[in-house]
Amino acid sequence: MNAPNGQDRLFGRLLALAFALTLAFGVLIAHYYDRLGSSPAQVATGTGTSGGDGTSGNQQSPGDGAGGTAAATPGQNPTSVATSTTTKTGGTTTGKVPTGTTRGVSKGSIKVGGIFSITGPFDASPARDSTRAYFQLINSEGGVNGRTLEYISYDDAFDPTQGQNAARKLIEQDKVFAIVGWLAPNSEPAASQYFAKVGLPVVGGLAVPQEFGPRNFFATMANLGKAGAAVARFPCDAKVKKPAVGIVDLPFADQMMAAVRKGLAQCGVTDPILTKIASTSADYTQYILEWRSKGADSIGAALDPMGFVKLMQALDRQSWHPPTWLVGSADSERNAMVKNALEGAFSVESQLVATLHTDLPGPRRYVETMHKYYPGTTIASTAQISWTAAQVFVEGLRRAGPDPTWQKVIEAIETLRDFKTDLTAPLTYTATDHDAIKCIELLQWKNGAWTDYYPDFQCWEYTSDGGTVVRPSRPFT
Amino acid sequence: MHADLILPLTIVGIVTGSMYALGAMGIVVIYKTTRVLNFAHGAIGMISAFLAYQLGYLWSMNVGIAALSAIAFSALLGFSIERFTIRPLEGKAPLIKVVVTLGWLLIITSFAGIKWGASAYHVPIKLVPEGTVGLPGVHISYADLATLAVAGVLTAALATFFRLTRLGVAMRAVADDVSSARILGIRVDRVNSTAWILGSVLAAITGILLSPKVALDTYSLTLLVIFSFAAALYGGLVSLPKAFAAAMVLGVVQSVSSGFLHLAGLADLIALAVIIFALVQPGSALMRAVAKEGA
Repeated sequence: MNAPNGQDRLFGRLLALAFALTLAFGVLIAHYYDRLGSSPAQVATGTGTSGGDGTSGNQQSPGDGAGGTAAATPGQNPTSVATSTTTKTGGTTTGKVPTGTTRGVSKGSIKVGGIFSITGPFDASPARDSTRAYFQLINSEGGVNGRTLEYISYDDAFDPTQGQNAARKLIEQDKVFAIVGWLAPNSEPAASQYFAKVGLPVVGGLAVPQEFGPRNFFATMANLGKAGAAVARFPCDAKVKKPAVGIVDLPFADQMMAAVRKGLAQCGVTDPILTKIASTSADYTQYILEWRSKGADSIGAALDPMGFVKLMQALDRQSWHPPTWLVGSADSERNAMVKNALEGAFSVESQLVATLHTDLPGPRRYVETMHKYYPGTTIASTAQISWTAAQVFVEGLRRAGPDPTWQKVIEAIETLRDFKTDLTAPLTYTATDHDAIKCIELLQWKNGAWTDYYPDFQCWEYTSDGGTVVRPSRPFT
Repeated sequence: MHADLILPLTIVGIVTGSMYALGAMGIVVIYKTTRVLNFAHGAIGMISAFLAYQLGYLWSMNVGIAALSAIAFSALLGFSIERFTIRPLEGKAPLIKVVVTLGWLLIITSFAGIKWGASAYHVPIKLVPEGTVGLPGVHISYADLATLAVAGVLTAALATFFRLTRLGVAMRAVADDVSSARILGIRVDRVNSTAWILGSVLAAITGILLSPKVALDTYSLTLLVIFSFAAALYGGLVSLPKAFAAAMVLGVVQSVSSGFLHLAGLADLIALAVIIFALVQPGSALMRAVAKEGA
């Protein structure tokens, strides 16, 4: 073997230096985006020069707020009428709504935007198609107050940087009136802060913690930071002692883990096994082996769509079938890939799984519309939240009247009381509570298909101490 | 971590390592002969798996025929890449050829995304029946065992091929010195084509075998090759046995360390460490290869 010569050593050192610089640059970028995600004021880097009151006709850059005033920081009063605050007080929503911005609204149409993870490990194309299908349905019926809905969407490729770029493009270039039905797990935390600063109506999303609090956000999925506590009720009912809970390693994983821990503590389970799971891992066997060695008696999981498949495959390989609780896993195609392994497993859904209830008019309308406009699209429970988001937005738009503004639409949605959607329990939004999804459907996989474990929705209420109380049932529709 | 987990996690790691090893084989075969680092390797495996899915699942063809057709397609693709986009660059800097492979990576993934959708909603064909074998503390699926066996057999077969067959020796001769090989009457173009065909076929076998385990989308299989690159780099991109061993070690270290450290990106970090080590270690196989290239 030849000893390395000077050229080799120099080459090696240069490579090492390049790697060190790359790592340092990566850390700086990560730090920068972390700041974007934690401070709305930091998001305001736009250089637009218009603005002021944010009224119709002004193509206000999100960066300038109102006359260049920065958004309020958490805990402070808003300093600008063109922005929403991000003050969070428990589950309530606070802050002023923006004034009459109408950008994206023309005589015949309204531009609406969305960001979806299409390429990459998470496929949100069914959610995008669900939003589009609802808008196409509405357009075919004449639109809303004489205007059709024009939907513009971008793929973030499961990348927060691309998500940020898409968010800015929708606001600064496309000048959309609202964000509706979006589903981009890795981008939503930071992009939400940006949209909160801009102040336009945002309906739907994955209900990450950042989407609760700003006045312009309306969730159509159970609050991930809190639903864990409600979801934990069902394992508690099953008298589990040592559950192992795997949560996909996304920006909201910590909040969800805290909620699950809190919920389990309510029934005396104080030492659960909580694990963050890497969606990029090819094999989940190592998690299964670890959980089993630690004496887990049941499994809970909130994972990306393919993660459910890998988890069930790994459980099946080890011939280990403890009681298993999944969150939002109903998906016809992927469920079919592990249909034997799923036997007996439970799934908690914040929407009525449409394919199971085509006897009801709402789910039937969803399924038929999807088949009409997007026949190849998978009907998945995660996509349904986007349909509901589109439905809530259209109702708000309708109530806002012939001259919609951000303010009018936001305030109109806040007037919804027991609003009947196609796929959820009736929804109520108020000026202080935009956390409308408080009911879940519990399914069990039996003989190769999901079946209703309870005949009705299971709904909960948040208690003053941040806990939850689950009421036994509420009729579907 | 419980001590009794070390053995099962090691077994899981060996299975994972065999996946990386399979991916590394094709990278090494192409580089060993042509000195081109093929960044499109994972994409070739991915599109072959998609083709098998198209034939075997969507068109309900016999899965064996679907797999063989996809492998034949990969051979044609490998030949085309070499014949029409690499060969015209003969005499140019290796970096230019590497950039061409990056171009193919983008072309193939874009095409697959347009044709099949860049999502995980595809049901891969399964060549190996379902079922498991019980080993100490862990059950391994037949598919995992098949992957391990194929990786081991291919490594041995390819090493023998390069050492004992006329074509294999010719490929090594081309790799050592193209001009001398030509003087000796070796048809260098044909040898290079063969290397690309062989490498692409190995990519296809990898893609088809692994797609039931890794999500069949345009992303997962393409990026799984990063771990294979780490293993191949450790073998200086030329040594099949070393790449195989490095893949196994990488898989085992990733698996066992996950029992100690609960860090979601741990596997990626370990692979990065292996790559850096392979690159900067004085006297490493790669450094020798680089020095030889520059000589």
